Amino acid sequence: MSPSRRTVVDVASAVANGSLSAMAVLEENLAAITAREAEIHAFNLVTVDQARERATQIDADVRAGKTVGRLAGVTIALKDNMCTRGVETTCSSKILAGWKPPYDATVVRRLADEGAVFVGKTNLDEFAMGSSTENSAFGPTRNPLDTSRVPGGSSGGSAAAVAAGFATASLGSDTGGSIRQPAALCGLVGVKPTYGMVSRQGLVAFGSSLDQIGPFTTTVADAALLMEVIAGHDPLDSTSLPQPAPSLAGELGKGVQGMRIGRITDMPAGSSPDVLAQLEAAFDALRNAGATVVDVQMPSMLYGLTAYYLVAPAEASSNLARFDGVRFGLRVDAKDVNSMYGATRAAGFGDEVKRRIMLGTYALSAGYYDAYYGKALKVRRLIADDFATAYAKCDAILTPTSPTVAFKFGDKTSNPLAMYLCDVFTIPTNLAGHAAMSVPFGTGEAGLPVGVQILAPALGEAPMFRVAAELERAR
Amino acid sequence: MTQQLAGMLEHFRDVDALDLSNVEPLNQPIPLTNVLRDDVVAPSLDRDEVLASAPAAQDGRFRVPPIVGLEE
Repeated sequence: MSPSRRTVVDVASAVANGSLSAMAVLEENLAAITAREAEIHAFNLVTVDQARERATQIDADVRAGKTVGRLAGVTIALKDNMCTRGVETTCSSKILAGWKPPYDATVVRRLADEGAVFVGKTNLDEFAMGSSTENSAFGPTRNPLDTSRVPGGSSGGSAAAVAAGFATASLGSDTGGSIRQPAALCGLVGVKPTYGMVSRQGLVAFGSSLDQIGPFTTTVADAALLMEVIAGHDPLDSTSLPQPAPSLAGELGKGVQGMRIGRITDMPAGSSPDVLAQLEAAFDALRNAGATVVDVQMPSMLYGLTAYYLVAPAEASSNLARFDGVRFGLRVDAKDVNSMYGATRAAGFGDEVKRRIMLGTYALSAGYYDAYYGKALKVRRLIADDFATAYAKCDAILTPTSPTVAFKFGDKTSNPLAMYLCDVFTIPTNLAGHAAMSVPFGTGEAGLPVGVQILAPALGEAPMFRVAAELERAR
Repeated sequence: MTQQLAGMLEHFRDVDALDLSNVEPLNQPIPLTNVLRDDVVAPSLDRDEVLASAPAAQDGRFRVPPIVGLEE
């Protein structure tokens, strides 16, 4: 069995019953890293020593007959915008290089409590701003399926790590599609949970009203198990929903008989034919399994791009003010504190981050607030209203995850708007705070994977996973 | 970058096609407001550990360049 084909479910049960050692799983991953990481660059940091220590401990616990968690020996890569105590957390930015957080993110603690083994911190577009991982201050990540192409972004390193067999699963963060799009481009399952379902405590904030952490896995069942571990109320996050973690494993075998699946009749144009063909095949598969396909309208969907690229930068411009050379990371010394702030930010932030901070502060400034930020919030309401109308008629909606399969390096870097258009189908979910996921479904151009996106209302993870499991069976 | 920003702002005018006069803004997606916890003492971050990752610290505090008193 190749390391990339080991599943979370299989590893956890085999390690817990002693038929497979946590160390054997880890060494498979480390061997794959040795063989290909120099080419792929999925990681900012591989924590070899800590991982071996941890695997040794888990194997000792199993031998001693101690209770091990639900993820015993499961190797997990963490996007490098999640705080790990004493382990460098950079957000792929020079401004945080060298910073070692004094605490673990809640998701990190929850995974550790269940016996997960962390293999390292993965590369991302700086501060999660991008759709290709080309914006990292430490260099791009390559798509393991075709190294002339991007892995998607911003969680490109987390996607590449799983696709290359460097870890059994990984976590990413999704502000406008940053889990789902790289999952689609790397042939993986990727989940953007309902806003508030997974704690953001310890996730370095980008767009606070949009960000959610979620898993990358090779199977739907693995994603369900990881969701059950990381989701659920956290008193340390004031936007955490009061609900406990959902029970999802039981949904996977239920099928889609009687479910109503929405097809957006006024979907924004521009998707490539190979992607649209797989979307049609996905509708057919669900119909064959007993679901009904119903037409729904999302007239505001295209305007989501504008709303998002004003709201997210506005929130980012506020959140990133904390990187000021005082409490963590880089400082460029200067004669007074204001000059020090300016010099530190000029040296520490990359171009895309600067672009978005400027866009955000502009959209929030007194003279332009109503014309930009204020309008964006109203469009956000229209999107939520359109979804509410659609979900009165259906249980879930299918769209492409990305308009195209993985694209080549440099294809979209000269034109930020072209890059932003990658997110046209993923963004509306974040604006509405709903659940969504991408599942691989067939292949397109050059034999590369196509991702189909399943959209569901807030707290609609259960029906969403039913549909995902059906698509996985049919693919 | 100036040109790129101008291009983006131009694109963002696409929403001018929408009638937003009677639409309430949506700031955040979940129905939670003013989430507070009980006012009880709980452990917090270790000060030395926090200061250890700062660019400069002194006497248990963050150290910064002069804030006032410098004349141009």
